[in-house]
Amino acid sequence: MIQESVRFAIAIAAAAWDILLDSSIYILFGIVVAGLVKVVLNPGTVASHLGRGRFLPVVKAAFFGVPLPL
Amino acid sequence: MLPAAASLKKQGANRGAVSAFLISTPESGIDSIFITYALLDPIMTIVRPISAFITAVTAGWTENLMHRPNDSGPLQVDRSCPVDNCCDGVDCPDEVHRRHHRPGEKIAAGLRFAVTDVWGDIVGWFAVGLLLAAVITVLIPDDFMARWLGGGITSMLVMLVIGIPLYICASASTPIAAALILKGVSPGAALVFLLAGPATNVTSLTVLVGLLGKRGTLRYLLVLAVCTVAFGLLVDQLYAFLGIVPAAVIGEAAELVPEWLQYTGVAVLLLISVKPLAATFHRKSAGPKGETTFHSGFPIAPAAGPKKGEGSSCPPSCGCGH
Repeated sequence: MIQESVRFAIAIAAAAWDILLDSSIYILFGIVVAGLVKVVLNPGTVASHLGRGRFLPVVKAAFFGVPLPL
Repeated sequence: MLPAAASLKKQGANRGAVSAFLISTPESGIDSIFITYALLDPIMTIVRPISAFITAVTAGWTENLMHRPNDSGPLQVDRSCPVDNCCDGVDCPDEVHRRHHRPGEKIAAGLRFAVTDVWGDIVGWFAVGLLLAAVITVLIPDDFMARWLGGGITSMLVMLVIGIPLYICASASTPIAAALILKGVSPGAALVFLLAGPATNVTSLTVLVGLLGKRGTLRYLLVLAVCTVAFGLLVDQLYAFLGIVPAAVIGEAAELVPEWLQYTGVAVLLLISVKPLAATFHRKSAGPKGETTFHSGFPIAPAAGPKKGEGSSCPPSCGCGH
């Protein structure tokens, strides 16, 4: 029983390690670009780009939301 | 995500724009786009932000058509400096405001945001997502899910029912989706999970009712459900049309990275994870309410976290909300 759960835990850790190896470098790139975007495009200033109307502000808000990491 | 949307509404954006922002921001981000490329495939990397955008626009337009926005007041925009809140931007000409900091300082601030804000917000969720993905990989027999979630409208609806009440951020949901696809879940059903998981959860619904009203929230959920399922079905058609077997292409991007770089990546990532993970555990053990501070506050506080800003020397006119 104990042996089995240890084997299970090791298998889980190995699977998690594999995913981590596959993704780490991409995650690092992703968060660095996201951080730089946050300096250029402060989420708080999104409102200033929206303007007025029923349709265009919606498109702009959706557009700004796509890259923003929140 | 919710504080940013609340502030958007406070600044005078109409309900449609707020709805759109509430959908596209959590469903897609630069960080999750990169992770999707690493763990899924190029098709999903492109489809995910596009679906998020179209879903967001549809929800926003529906909201504004059903409920004509009252756009009389001027927009009151928060223009405070994102680098260190040195200036609130009011009565400050654009040209001057943009030049408060040298490019070097901006890049440094961006890297700080990357580690403290962006990764700091994700890391706890990502750890959970990684663990869940690993459990799925180990526990569930291959092809087991193909029978139930291998495609078709039922698979989409099952994923929707799982995804809507669940909260998981876009980045953290990616390894889970990859594990599911490898176990036979159709890429369309996985996309439904990727879109519905981050967009809503049980606790955010109460905030949504406050922002959009009860009917608005219902419309928001309906549009979200319909669009998400439609995109799921479309993506399955796309894979079938292109003749691609999803399980065969999942995670191929990782093979492009040389081994030494993979290990370096893991080392750096683990290094910058220690502090935010420790802080999360500390907060969790201190009290359940700590979870709300887990997401970056708005406006962005200087340096790390919302707490640090409180004691900082802030002129009364700084506009950073203290």
